[in-house]
Amino acid sequence: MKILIVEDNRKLGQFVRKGLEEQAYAAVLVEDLAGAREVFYADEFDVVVLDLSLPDGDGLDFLKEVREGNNDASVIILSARSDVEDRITGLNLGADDYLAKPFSFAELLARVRSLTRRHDRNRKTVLDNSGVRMDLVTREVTVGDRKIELTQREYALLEYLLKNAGRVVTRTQIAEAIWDCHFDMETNLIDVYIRKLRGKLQAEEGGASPIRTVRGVGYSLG
Amino acid sequence: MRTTLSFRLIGFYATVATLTVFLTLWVGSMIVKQQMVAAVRTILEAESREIELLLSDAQPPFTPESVSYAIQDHTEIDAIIFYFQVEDEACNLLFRSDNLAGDSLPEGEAGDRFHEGRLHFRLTGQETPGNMPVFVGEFQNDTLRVRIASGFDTQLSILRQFRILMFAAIPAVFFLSLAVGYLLSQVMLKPLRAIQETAQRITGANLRERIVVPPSPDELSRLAGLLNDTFDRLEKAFDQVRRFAGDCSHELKTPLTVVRLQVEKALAAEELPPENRVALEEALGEVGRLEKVIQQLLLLAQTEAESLQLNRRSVSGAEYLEQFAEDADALASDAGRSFCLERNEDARVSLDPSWIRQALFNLLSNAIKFSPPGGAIRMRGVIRDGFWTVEMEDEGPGAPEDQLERMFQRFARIGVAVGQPPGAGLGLAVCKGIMELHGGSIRAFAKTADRGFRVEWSLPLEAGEEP
Repeated sequence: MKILIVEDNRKLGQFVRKGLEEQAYAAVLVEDLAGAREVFYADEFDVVVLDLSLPDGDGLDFLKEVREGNNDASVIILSARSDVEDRITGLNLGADDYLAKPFSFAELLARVRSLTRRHDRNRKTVLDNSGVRMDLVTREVTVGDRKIELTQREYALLEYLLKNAGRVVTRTQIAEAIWDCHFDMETNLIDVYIRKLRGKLQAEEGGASPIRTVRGVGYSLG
Repeated sequence: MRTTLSFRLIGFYATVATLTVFLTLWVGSMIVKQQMVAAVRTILEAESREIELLLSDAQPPFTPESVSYAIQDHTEIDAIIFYFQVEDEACNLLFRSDNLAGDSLPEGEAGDRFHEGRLHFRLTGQETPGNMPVFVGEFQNDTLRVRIASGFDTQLSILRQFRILMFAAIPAVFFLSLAVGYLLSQVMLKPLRAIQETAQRITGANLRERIVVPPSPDELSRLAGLLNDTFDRLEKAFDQVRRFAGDCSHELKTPLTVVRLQVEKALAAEELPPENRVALEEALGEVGRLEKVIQQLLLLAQTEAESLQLNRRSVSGAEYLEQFAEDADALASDAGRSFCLERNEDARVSLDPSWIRQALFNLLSNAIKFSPPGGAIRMRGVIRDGFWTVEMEDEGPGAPEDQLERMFQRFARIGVAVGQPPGAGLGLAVCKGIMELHGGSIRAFAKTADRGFRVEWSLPLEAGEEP
C-alpha cells in the first residue's frame, strides 16, 4: 500500500507522512507539482493525498493529468479552500474524496482506509453484519429474528455504517454522506441518531450494541 | 430617487408653464381693457368738442330752454351711442338727453376734486337706464358741467368672455404641461435610468459591468464616467478582500492543521502527566474553536462579497421542513425540549438545501440552548406575500427589543445560556448572510405576552408560484 503526499507545507506534509507510516503505509512526500510528476510516474501509488494550492500550480491540474492518463490511483484532495464549488470541481475531475483543512489525522486516516477498501465493495442487495440484517430492496431491517422500524434518517445512517462495516467512519464523513453538510453542523445530531439507533438495535435492556464509539473520531460497526 | 426627481421636475415644469400662461393672459386682458378705455375716451372727447361748439352759440345765463335749443337735435342724432346731461355751476339740471328716460347720469366720486377746465374720465360700474354700463366723461367750464356717457357693455362683455376663457384655459394648460413635463422628464431621465439599472446589476459577484457613457459631453456623461471610476476602485477593493479571504484561509488553516496534528499526536502518547493531558485537551478545544471562527469568518466574507456559490435546487418547502423536523425533533428531545412543526404550507422554492439546513441547525441550536428545560420549540411554515416564511418560536427569554437588529451582526453576543460555552457570536450573522444570498431576509421578534421569542426568515417563492 503506497501513498504519495503532495503538500507544500513541509511540517504538515512530514506529519502526515510519519502518521501514515506509523499505520504501516509506505508514504512519500513531495512539496510541489514538479516533484509530484517526477515521483508519481516513476513508481506505482495506490493513493495520492493532494494539496490544491501548490507553489508551482494548482493541484487540480495534476489530478486532471492523472485521470487523463487512466491511472486508477485513488486521490484525496486536501485543501484550505472550502468552497463547495472547489469540492464539486475536484470530485468531478475524478477525485475520490475531499478533505478540508484544518483536519484531524484520524479523519484523514479514516478516509484513506475507506479508499483502500473501496475496491472490494460489491453491489450487494442485503447487508449483513453483527446480527444486523438490512434488505436494501424491501428496506426491511432485522436484528437476529426481530424486525425493527427505522425512520428515514436512522435507516440511512445504519446503511452507511453497514456499508463501511469493520472500519471507523468519522462524524464529518457521516455528516457529508447523510446530511450533505460540509460544515460544522453546530449540533450533536449524529450522536443523537447513533444513540437512537443503538436503542433500537439492542436485543434487550443493557445488551451489547454492534455500534462502537471511537473516542474523538467517530463510530464503527462490526 | 428617480421617481421623486421626475415628480419634482414635472411639478416644477407644470407650475411654471401654467403661471406663465396665466400671467400672460392676465396682462393681455389688462392691456386690452386699457385700449378700450382709451378708445372710448377719445370719442367722448371728440363728442365733447362738438357739444362745446354747439353750446358756444347760446349765451349765458343758460336756461334749460337755451341749452336744449342748442344741443337737442345733436343729441337725438347721437342717441344710439351717447347720453348727455348738462348742469349749471350750481348743479341745477339744465338738460338731459331723451335716451336717459329721465334717469340721471351717474356722478363720478372724485369729480369735485379736480380743477375746472380739465377733463375727467372715469369708468363707472353703476347701473344706468337699461341696466347698461356706461363710460362717463365730465367736461367743466366756468358755467356749465357737461357729462357725456357712452355705453360700455359690449367692451365689458368681451373682457368678461376673455377672462372666462382664460380661467378655463388654466386647468387645461396645467394638465397639458403635466403631460409634456412627464414626456420631457422621461426623455431627460432616460440616461439616468440606464445608469441606475446598470448600477443595480453591479454587485460584489458582478463587478465587471460598467455604465455605458452617453456620447454627448454633458453632466450625465460626466456622472456616468465618475460612477465607472468608482466601480473600478470598488472592484479593486473587492478583489483585494477576496484575495485576502483566500490568503487568510490558506495562511491560517494550514498551520492550524499542523497544531492540531501535533496536539493530537502528543495526546496519543501513553505516559503523559495528567496536568499535561488537561492542558493539551484544552489546547485542542481552543484549536477547534479557532477552526470554527475562521470557517465562519470566511463564510461571512464570502456571503458579503456574494462570492459564495449556491447550489440551488427547486424543492418543496413542506417536504424540506418535514425532513428537517425529524432531525429537529431528535435534537430537541435529546436535550429535554420538545419540537413541533405546527403549520407547514407547501410551495416551491429555489434554495441550496445544504446551506439552508446549515442555517436552520444554527437557529435550532440557539433555540434549544436558550429554552428552559421542558420548553417547547414551535415551527411554522407559511406562504405570505410571495414569500415562504418560516418562523421558529421558543420559550426562552429572547432578546430585548433594542437588541433585535444587533443580534445578526458579527460578534454580537446577546445573552449567554447558563452552563453553555459562549459562541463566537457569528452563527446568526452567518444565517443572515445565507438567507440574504438566497434573496431572502431574517428578523427576530421580542417575546410578548402571548408569544415567545421568535426568529422569522423568508425566501422568495419560485417564479410562477401562486402568491
